[in-house]
Amino acid sequence: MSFYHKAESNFLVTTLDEVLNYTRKGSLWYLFFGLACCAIEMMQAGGPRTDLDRFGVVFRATPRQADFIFIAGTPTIKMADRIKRLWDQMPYPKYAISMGSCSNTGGLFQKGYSVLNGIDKILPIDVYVPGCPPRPEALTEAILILREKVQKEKFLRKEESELIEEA
Amino acid sequence: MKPSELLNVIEAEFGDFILESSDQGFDPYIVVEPDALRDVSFFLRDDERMKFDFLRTSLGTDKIDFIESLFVLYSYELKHQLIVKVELSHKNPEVDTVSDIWKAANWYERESYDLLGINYKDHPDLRRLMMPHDWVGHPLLKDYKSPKKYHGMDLYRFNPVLKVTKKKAKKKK
Amino acid sequence: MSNITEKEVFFDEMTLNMGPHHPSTHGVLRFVLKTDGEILKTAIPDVGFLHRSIEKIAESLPYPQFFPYTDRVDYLAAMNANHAYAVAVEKLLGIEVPERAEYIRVLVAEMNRIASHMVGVGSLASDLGAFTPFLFNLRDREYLYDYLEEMCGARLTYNYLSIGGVHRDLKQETADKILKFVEQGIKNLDEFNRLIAYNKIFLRRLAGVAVVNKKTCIEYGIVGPNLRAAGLKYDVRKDQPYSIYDKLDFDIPVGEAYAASDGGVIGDAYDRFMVRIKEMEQSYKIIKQVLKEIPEGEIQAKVPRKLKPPVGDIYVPTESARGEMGYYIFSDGTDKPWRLKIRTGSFSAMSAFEEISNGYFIADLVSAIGSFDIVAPEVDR
Ligand code: SF4
Repeated sequence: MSFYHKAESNFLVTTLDEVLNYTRKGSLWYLFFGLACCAIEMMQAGGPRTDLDRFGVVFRATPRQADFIFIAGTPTIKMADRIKRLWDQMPYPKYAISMGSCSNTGGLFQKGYSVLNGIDKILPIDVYVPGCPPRPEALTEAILILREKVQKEKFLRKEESELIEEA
Repeated sequence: MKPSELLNVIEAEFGDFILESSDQGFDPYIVVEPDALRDVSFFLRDDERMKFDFLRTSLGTDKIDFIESLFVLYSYELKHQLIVKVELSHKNPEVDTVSDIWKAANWYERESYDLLGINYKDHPDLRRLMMPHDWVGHPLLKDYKSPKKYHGMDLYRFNPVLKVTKKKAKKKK
Repeated sequence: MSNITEKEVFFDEMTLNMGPHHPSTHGVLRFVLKTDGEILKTAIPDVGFLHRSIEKIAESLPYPQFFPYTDRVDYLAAMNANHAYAVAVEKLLGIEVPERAEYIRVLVAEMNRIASHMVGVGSLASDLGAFTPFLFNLRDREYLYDYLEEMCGARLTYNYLSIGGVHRDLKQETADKILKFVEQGIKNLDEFNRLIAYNKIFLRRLAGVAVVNKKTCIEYGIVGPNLRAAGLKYDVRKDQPYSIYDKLDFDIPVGEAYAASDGGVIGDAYDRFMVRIKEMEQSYKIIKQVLKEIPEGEIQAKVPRKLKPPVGDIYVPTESARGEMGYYIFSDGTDKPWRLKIRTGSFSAMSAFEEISNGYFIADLVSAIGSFDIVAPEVDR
């Protein structure tokens, strides 16, 4: 945002996009959805020490109120269909953070017969966080990156069909 | 009761149905004729000298020549442990259920059915436990090959590290 | 409600789905509920959403390399899972562990047990609508994590134990810090109790709900705090002692209808909650003893580079935070296990749900699941 500050008349010039994005990035709500070990670190990240609330990041229990989703854990093939369904239930615009090596690539369990090797096979990922599990600080960093991404988006200038295609 | 006494009592009771018994290993175990499993189980649970009321765990193993299903039993009161094994053929791995004798066996048997294909006769609810219901094959068998695709999802992932190490291994040879 | 006639059920029965994504199912568990109005007829669990083929992977790895996977079997009490595996393999190989290493192992296991019970009781409270106590526990867990991290370098998945010992020594300064924290921790536990444990609403939600008696527990093989809450004094640490637990002095809390004033009976959800709280006190006590008595010396036994155990099979039970955890290992004489099976507490607790869920309100199912303290990967592995 660019501020043109004039002493006599307080006003600011900016684009609608930027104002909208500024408000959007200040209240990113995530879907509380833990799959495995990483979910504990996600919980811990919401806890007192690395308080995620200060970024306006609050957990919601239903996908319909969520802006983004943490894929925190190992996506197995039995679960994959359900994750996809949850993702589909989230309203646009929506983002996904893949947390931990399991959901990035399959990680430790790549050799297993029942593990989907990488969640990006079924949904688009915005930020990958490496680690097994990533520390809460890494998660905070991921959210900062996501905030940057949200700020840069030319959200209003897109057709709806474009958005859907992108997602 | 000491392991050797325990085995003596069981052998005296069932004789021919006990194919093998030993207390030389870590835990005493008996191998039972599949047809006699239920009778032996009832005896182990109800007899005054046995009182095996706690089914610790149960599992199946693929031993190439045969499939083994085993039950680890423990008695809270008398504090002794026994492993009961049955050996089943690969072609027709079928044995009577013990899920009405120890209720804990219900899920263990479902698990063994799912992962090894052991068919427990008269089990009240023999469905797959871990894998999706439309899964093909039993993963813990030694000759199992995992599928490349499931529900349109590609299960293979290219692993550059693995490729490099494989190349190196080839060069070394 | 067992006295509903067949016909009424036919008209009123309704099927509901709960999970796998549900904030109070502790991971990915799914229940299919058959209800009559608001009253449950049965809750049929559907598991396997976190089946990660750990047992199959174990067959392709040498014994020491399986340690990281044991962490992931029970991520809330990873040290206990480590310990269980180490004890089993050592018994198979006949390795003696140095005394100091045993003390360190017990120390970390008990610390992890506390951390695990903190989530157990905290998330039960948060499932019932009290979120603040949970945050208090998350705060305390951070300290425990800090000390564990100082010792082994990871926060959640430690991979700290090795076959025949532990990877790194305990530094004196860490030991001092832990000792200091123990004092604080006992106070914080008091604070937690004041916040929630005697809260009237909380008591009413848990007293007399999801009663599991001793007989059902034994039949289904329910173990650990859940079994003890039903009144059976059985703890692997006392009854089949491993490591140095036979040298330590601690009590085993059992359920005794702690919420009797609100209509509680032995083995209800409140007993399970309270047994966990009391166990945490005992664990603090153990930690104090261990830190006082820990001897100097080696931390790693001499172990051959390539481990080749004799042919045979073994089952060694240990007491994890969720009850008996044991590894059944088949060895065929090579450096990899032929088959490995993990026996866990959550699996048995889950298998009993179909029977014990008969007759409560749907809302009580949440307290039932919470009070059993189930972790999904322990069920599915
Ligand atoms: S990345 Fe590691 S910590 Fe996260 S779910 Fe996978 S195994 Fe667990």
